[in-house]
Amino acid sequence: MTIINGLTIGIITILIGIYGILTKRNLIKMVMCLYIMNSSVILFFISLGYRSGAQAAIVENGDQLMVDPLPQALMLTSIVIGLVITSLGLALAIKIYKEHSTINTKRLIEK
Amino acid sequence: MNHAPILIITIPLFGAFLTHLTKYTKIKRGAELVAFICLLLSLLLLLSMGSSILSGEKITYNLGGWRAPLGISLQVDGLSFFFAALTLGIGLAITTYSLGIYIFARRYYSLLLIALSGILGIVLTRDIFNLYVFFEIVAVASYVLISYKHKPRTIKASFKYLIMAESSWVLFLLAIAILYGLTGTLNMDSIAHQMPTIYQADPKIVIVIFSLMLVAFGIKCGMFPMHTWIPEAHSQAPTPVSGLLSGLILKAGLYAMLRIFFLFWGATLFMLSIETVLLYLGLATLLLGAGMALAQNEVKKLLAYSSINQIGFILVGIGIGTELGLTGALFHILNHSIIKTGLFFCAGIIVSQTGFWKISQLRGVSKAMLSMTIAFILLSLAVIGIPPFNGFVSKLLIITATIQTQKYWVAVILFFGILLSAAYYFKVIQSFFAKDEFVTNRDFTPRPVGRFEHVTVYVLVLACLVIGLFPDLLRNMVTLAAKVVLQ
Repeated sequence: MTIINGLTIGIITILIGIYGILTKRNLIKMVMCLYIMNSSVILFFISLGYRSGAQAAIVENGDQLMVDPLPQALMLTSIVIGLVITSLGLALAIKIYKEHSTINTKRLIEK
Repeated sequence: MNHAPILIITIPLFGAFLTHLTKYTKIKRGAELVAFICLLLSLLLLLSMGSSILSGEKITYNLGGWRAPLGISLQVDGLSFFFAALTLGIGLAITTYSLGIYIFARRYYSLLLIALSGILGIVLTRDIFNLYVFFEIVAVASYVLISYKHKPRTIKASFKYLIMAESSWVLFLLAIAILYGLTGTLNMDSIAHQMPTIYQADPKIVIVIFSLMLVAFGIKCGMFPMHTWIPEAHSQAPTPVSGLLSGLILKAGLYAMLRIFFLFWGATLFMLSIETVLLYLGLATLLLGAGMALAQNEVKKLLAYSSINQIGFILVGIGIGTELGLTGALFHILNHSIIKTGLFFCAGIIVSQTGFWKISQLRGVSKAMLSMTIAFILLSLAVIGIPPFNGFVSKLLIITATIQTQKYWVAVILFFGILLSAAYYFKVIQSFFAKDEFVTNRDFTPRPVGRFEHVTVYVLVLACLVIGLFPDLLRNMVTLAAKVVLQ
């Protein structure tokens, strides 16, 4: 097993997302970082069920090597939730821009 | 098979869609009617299970007929019953209060029902991924509810809450992923069963999972240092939504903490036990909430910081770890929900009638609105913990538990917290009864306040008094819930 797999990349991108949320001042970038975090957890979860050389869990002729289908089913829900959150966050960012004519958090605090 | 557990969740969810269809009927105020009927039906279904739950039984419902480790199961036990009853009770109060406010349309009642059914799902489910999905449902509904009025400040508050809460749920999902990778199951009981083996194999990974969950639930329940969304969201949201946030959504975070932490790590596994972590964080939350509340000049912001202060009390009660402490904490969850919802409603009526929301502007308001001022005073006495109100009973239980476990210094800090909460509430009361001439805001047209709003506040005050005078009425339910936590 190499060090570069879904699990490690997932963890690294989660950290990138957290870094972005903590340091970025642009609301759109914050929502983007949120989506990065969400996607990387999805990558992490999917990679848990991965087995090298295995096929999708559709049984055709009895004994074949299969990946774990449960993470995939769960992450389908998670992708939908991530989409909802991102679109809601972007909609709120647009509203904030219309009301305050800025999306910089530093300027928003002053108002 | 008894289908009640799933119906409790799905009836309000179904009602959320029905509210939109009332547009095509000729019924006047159909959405409100649907919301009311759905919540009452759920409450009836819950109470129909009451007698068997209170005798110590557990009702398990397997979704689709699949047994627990494979399928998703719902379980009604003492703790779930307690929280579900609380949710439906406060939910009915919030709906009644909203009836008098005509600006709330079908969309509002629909979102309210979605949020309430999400909370019911949180308290009933036994599947950890299902818990995450229900938390997200509640969260999405509450973001939209906070920014319902589309004012510049409400949208900012909603956005802040969205960023904080969603990053916490991503961490919770990561914790679920690690748990699934280690155990291969998502059922809480199966995970709890395998937890000691995991801990023996690798203690570090268990601490990682615990920290991720602590951050996630801590943000939801407003634990120090993750409380920063509370003051803005609570003070900017429409009044009934403030009641929902403070009364129920904070409590959902506490429920998840009680359920998951005590189920997974019930025995003291760590060098530093969970109880100790919660105790110190609770004390910090308590002191911070009280200190910040003293410095506030807006009524609703003061109430929001007071919520943080009371959450600190509850966390300390949990942190003591004995059955008495937990009973006190659960009792305080119930009492704080009733009191704080009432206080927010009271403040909402006062603000919407006078047009002022700063305490300094509200000097002498008692001359204009005597009944609401008296209700506010009674409720604030209850939250401080003065007999004969309900806050006294639960705070007494928590302090007795600290003395029983010989943590005298904790008791001293709790007393200090009570004194501080008395200080900031007396500041408000003093300003309400000031001798100054009270003039209402001239640039403001007061919104007509209906009888429903007043009735809700009076009922909540009455509930405080009745629970305070006869705490034994509910003691059975609360003790059972505490026993379920400690099992």
